[in-house]
Formats: sequence, C-alpha cells, structure tokens
Amino acid sequence: MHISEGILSAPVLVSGAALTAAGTAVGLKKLDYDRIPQVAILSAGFFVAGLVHVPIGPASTHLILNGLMGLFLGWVAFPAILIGLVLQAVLFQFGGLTSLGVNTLNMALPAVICFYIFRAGIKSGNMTLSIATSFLCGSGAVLLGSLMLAVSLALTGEHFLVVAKIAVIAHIPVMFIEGLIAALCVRFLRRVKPEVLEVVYEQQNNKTW
Amino acid sequence: MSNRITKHGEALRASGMITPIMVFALVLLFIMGATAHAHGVHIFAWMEGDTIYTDSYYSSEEKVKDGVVKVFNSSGEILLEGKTDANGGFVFKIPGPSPLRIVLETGMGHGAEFVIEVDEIASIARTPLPFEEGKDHEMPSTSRSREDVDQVKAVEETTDSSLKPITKALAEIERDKGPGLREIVAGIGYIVGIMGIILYFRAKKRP
Repeated sequence: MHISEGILSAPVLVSGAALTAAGTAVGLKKLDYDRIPQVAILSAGFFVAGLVHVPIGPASTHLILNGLMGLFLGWVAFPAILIGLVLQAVLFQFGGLTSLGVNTLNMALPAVICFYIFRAGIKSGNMTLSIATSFLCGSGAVLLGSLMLAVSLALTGEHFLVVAKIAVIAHIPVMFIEGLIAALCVRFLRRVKPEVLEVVYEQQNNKTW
Repeated sequence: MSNRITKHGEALRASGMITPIMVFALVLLFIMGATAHAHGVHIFAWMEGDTIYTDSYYSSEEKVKDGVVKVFNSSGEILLEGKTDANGGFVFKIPGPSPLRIVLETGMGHGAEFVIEVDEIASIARTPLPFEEGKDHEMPSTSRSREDVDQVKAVEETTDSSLKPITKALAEIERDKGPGLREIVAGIGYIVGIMGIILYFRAKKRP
C-alpha cells in the first residue's frame, strides 16, 4: 500500500500532496480538543499496524487499519494517517517522503468515504446492523485504498486493470481481517463503553458538514 | 442516549481507562509477534571482477522473488533488465562505464534502488571490461608480458574468491534488519509528543 520513492511522476506526487494538504486542513478544523488523545491512540495503532505482516495471499501485504480510522475519526483520519505515515517513512523506510502526499491520500480518502457511507448503519440502534456495517467499513476502506493505489500507478503509466487486479487480490486477506477488527472494536465499544461511539457521531453531527 | 445501546456500560464506566489499556495491550501483542515481518524493500549490489551481483529482499529477510531489476546509466538510459531468482539474486556483467543505477520494482508501487559509482567500478574491475577491450590495443605497449597478465589475473581471481565471504558479510551488515522495538517505541513516543504539543496549544485557546 505504500508507494516508494521515485516510482510516481511529479504531477501525480504534487497533486497527491495538494489533496492531502486540503484533507489534513479539514481534519484539523474538525479536531475537537477532547478527542485529541483518541486520535493519538488511533494514530499510534495505525503506525504499528503497518508492521503486522499478512502472510496469506500472493504478495507481501500488511494491515492498514484505515477503515477503523475512518470509522472513529471521519475527516480527522487525514492528519492521523499523515502522522503515522511520516513516522513509518522515517523510522521504517515504508514508502517515502516525496510520495507521502499520495500515500496519505490513498489511505485517508477511502477512510473518509467509508465514514460517510457507513456512519448511519454504524450508529444505528440495531446491534447486528451496526456490527455488519462496521465490517463493511473496515474492509471497504482497504478495497478503495487498493483501487486508489492502482489509479496512482496507472497515472504514471502502468496499466490500470493489471495493477488493480494485483492490488485488490493481494489485499483480500487484509480486507477480511480489517473488517473483522472494525466489527470487533465496535462490538466491544458498544458493550463496554458505548459513549465513545456516540461522542464520535454526535460531535461530528453538531458540526457543519 | 447512551443507555439505549446497553446497560453493561454503566458498570464499567467507572474504569474509564479500560479502552486505552486494551488497545495498547493489543498493539504490544502485535509488536511482539510482528517485528520479524515488515514491508520495506531493499536492493544491495556488489561487484566481483566484471560481474555485478545484486541481492533483493524485504526488510523481513524475505527474498524478493520475480522482482524486476532495471539497470540505468547516468543519463537515465536503460541498459538491461531482468528478474530476480528465488533467492532474490540477479547477476549481470558490467554493461558500461558510467555510474550504474540499479532499480528494483516489486509491483504495487514498491521499489528500491542502489547506485554503484564509476570509480568503484574502475577500481574493482581491473580486468579489461568488454567495452574497454578495443582500447587495450591502442595503448602504448607496456612492459607487461602475456604471462604477467595471466599471473595477475590468476591472483585477482583467487583474491576475489577469498574475498567473497567478506563481501557477502558486508552486504549482510549493510542490509537493514527491519524496524526493531526501538523504532516502534520511538514512533509511539513521537505520536504521544505530538499529542502533547497539540493539547498544549489548544488548551491556551480555551476560555
């Protein structure tokens, strides 16, 4: 999921960085004082999840957790993922500093999109529906992320369908695992600390979208 | 509003720290099991005689199979291209005299590169390179006889083969063993630090 240094052409890198800057600005505006520790915990979780290697499937993949970030953070997923990616690039040499913008966009935009698609279902009073939509949110963000990865590579000359097929197939195990993680997290929080989820959705609702 | 979802929450609400602790326990569990696997991609190249050996691997020690290796000269022209074998290796004869940029692509946007400089090539590849053979005849005759040259070559071959384990060992040192616990803890520390900074500045703005 992390595109390395020197793979993409300059226009793709620049537009990725610009869109990420915009997304991060929106995210920071929506960031509430009280939720900063929660954002930091999720950011740390994202940072470490990249190390969890998924040995199933044809390619070397790892957890991304962008669906989970979107589920809890909405637009704030942009700054949270950006921080995680900066540290992954600097400390683990995942991706690269020039491709940071594109990589953040590829992971954070699906998170935001899935947040909007699935938020109604996740906050619904029906436990089963809520858990099912959480699963879809977790795996949907990975699916969208692999498609965006394919788009970025296609813009630099690789054949879209070829890359998309490889990327999506490689991420199928990851999609399943992340859907499960998101579903378990929501189930756990609804049982143990339901106000966490409600705070997320109420505060986001009070703001002008 | 909150009791709509469940009443179990009431009992556990007092222990507000339970969620962060659970999350961190999970994260630590992952770290323990996962440090051996990571996702960086690396290529390392070294020379023996007129041949360049490359070794391609993920930071998890796993070798890159079927990775595409492209060799470029200093002006960015592609000189040759090939695929890594099951052990991540790809071997080729030095194709030209310029600094060589060896690029590895493993698909899905992952890649790495390694540059071998010209003087490195010149000093190590003392045997005449294929593209230099013509020059040999043009040069003013030296005092070297045919036997001398053969002898030098023989010596070089023995040194090369006896140095092979050392070159390999250097390559092993050069390779990045993947993120260790230190990097992971550092990263989490940075995130906590960033959180602190943001909290500090936001706190001042509050009425």
